[in-house]
Amino acid sequence: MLEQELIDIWKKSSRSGVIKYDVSLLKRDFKMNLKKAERNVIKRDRREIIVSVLTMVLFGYLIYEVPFLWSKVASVFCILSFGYLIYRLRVNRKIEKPATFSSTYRDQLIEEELFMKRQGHLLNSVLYWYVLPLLGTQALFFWSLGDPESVGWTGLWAELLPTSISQKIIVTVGFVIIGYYIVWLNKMAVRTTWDPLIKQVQQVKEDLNSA
Amino acid sequence: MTFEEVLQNNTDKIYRICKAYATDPVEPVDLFQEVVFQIWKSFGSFREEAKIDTWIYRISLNVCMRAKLTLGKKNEKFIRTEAIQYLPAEGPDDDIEQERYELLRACIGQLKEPDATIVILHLEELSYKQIGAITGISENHVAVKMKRIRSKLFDCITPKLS
Repeated sequence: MLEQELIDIWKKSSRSGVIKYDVSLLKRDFKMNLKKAERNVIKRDRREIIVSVLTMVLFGYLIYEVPFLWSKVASVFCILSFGYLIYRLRVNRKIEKPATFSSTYRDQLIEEELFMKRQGHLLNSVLYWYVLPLLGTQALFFWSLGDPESVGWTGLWAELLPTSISQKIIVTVGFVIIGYYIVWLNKMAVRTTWDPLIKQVQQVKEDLNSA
Repeated sequence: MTFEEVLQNNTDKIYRICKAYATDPVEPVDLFQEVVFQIWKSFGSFREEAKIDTWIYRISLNVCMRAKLTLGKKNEKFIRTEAIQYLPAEGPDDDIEQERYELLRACIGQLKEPDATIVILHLEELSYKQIGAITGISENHVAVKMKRIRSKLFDCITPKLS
């Protein structure tokens, strides 16, 4: 008796209001949303390509401009590490959220957990694939810069780039602080966002499997 | 079967699930829009390996579960469309029904997440076999779980309804 009463209460709940929709408008809006998402992806890709090309051109020019061998080598590494960074960002972006919601509840939980763990791992390892390559190549570049006067190097770049020990220390410390901050931010995101979500999903999975 | 027919035949059940899962600040209609969007997106790939009912319930529950998990995450956005509107019904009978529904919803809310999902499907009058096909656990497992869940739910709701 009670069970049927509960079913009635439940079934009547959708009568507390009316859902109205216009299917043709709905389809139009859905298509627009998909197109908007695609446009955003194209914009983001374009932005990344422009930034990476500009940076590569800059360091390409510095290979020509800077007269110190190891700074030239560092510029080549900078170009390579920036290329690698763009590649990693694109690979990482392929870790998409589970898109097929038509799997079973249990499979969906497994997919969600996998996605969250990948996201967590990605952020936790930012030191190795993001910070260290850029920091290392930047440090090599700046610390390989010698005295411009000793080689007769003049011009804007000779004045702009840090060539004295104190300037190099300041720039390096600045890069280290930025790098540390990036690592800290990412680890914090894992601790505050992904770890609790992973635990939550694991708990739901455990509860589902228990009798 | 066309998308329009699927939507028309399943509006109530989708909305009931969304209503059960919606937690402030997410409105049931937000979840409803997202579920309908996902159904529309996946409709072309529906191969009738599962029954349409099972397929609809899976999408509805999975979308709602995702929304619940990621609630509060800044980058989690729902689809926006003006093409779906919710018009609340008015009248004294509805107020009483609404109150009884809220009591039931509160009791379901006290259950563990998967238990709440199973009881929602049970209240939708699905068989244990169908519930198993939606949740991914065996029919026997559903039966065992339902025995315990039913007892918990009754203990919670009986004094409130009387």
